[in-house]
Amino acid sequence: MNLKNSLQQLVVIIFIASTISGMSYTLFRYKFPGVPRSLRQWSYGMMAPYQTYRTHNEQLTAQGKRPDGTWEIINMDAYLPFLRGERAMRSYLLTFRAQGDIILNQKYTEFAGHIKRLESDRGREWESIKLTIQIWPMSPAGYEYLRHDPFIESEFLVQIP
Amino acid sequence: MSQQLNFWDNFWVRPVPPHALALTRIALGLFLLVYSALYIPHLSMIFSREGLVMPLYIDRYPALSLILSAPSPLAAHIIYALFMLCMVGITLGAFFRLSTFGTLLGGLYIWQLQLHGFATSYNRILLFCLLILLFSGAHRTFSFDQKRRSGSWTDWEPISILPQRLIALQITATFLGVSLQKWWLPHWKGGEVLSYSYISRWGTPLAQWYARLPLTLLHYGIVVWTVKIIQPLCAIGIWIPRVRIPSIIFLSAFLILVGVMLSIWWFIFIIPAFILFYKPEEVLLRCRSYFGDLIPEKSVKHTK
Repeated sequence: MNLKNSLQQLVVIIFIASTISGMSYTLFRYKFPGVPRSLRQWSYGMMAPYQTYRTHNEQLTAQGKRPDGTWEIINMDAYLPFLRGERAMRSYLLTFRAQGDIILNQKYTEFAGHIKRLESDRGREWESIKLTIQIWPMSPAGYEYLRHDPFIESEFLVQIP
Repeated sequence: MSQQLNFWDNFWVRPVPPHALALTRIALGLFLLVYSALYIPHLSMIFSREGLVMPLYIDRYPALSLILSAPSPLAAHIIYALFMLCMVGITLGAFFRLSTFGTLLGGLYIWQLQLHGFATSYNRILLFCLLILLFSGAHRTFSFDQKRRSGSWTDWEPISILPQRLIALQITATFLGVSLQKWWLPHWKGGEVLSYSYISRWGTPLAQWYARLPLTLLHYGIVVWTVKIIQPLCAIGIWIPRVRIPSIIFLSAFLILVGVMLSIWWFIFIIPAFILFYKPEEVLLRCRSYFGDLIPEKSVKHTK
């Protein structure tokens, strides 16, 4: 058996082990012994379906404070140029969320700083920037159909300064 | 024992014509070009330090800040142009290994720059496919590299079937995993998941229109159960010649509907890879039946 063949057989064995491990974790949450966690998680990640759903809408919202103390919603379409679902998923900052609440809070603060700078670049100065998650009921009439009082709830994230 | 070994080697590592993998390579290259082109109008915003960029690893590896931090808008455009040039290389089979490596590297670099963490299944499957293609020999026909080696784009050299098997089996595992898991996931017991998804942030205008039709929850439940039953059967059926075409049609329709109704369109890159479930020898014969002697019956011995 030459080196190339040996390498190919090794790849086959690693692939089979990681796929069986990923599949057993996907279907039964059983962690197959002897297979490294990274391999199992990688394989599981390729089999993870659309696992859950929400019965409400929610969206990261930035608000700017005017000198007169009123708050206005900032249009972030130009800053997050993605499809609606993708934009929402990205604005959860999932990779930072996985690092814990302290890091997540730091990163949302950083996010708010970016929004302040980008708004300033466009000639819109705000005294403060506040990030919240807006939550409102779903409706077959449209995504934003019920996005108004009295249906909206807001979950505070961060505010600068 | 020897017979079993023969079957094992025949399935995993026998030398085969490269046409199925080459067609997959071309389709993947074109898909990547289209997908990447959609970001071109927003490069400064999503990949440069003048936009909304939060690099993932810069806090962990400050010594590598030169590499991991966001570039200037000009540098972002240059990097992205090189990144897309690599995709052109994949499509044309030009400097294929370098192009695939560049696409992998560029993809990871760009991913860590922006608001990452999206579409991890997609990212993982794509990364897996690119890694496999890197060492696959998918440029051994229908490629600029092959033209350089032997003088014709359509000359071909045999490659190991291993890359083809790995991608095909991963597609099977993905469809099996996503469908069988729905049998016990609490949110997939009935049709609610689908009805709510159609009016969620993922729902397209078509899905919203569909959700307004006077359909009961039973209707959505039937759709969900149809997917739960037929999808795993198709994941297996795609290996069986007699039911391969219906399986491909169902799985393709599923991926297209996920794109059309839920705006998650990027998984369509899997559809061309269904050709990998056919025997490579059959794909060569089919190519010859379309293009005749333009496709040589026998492989060439390269001269360089």
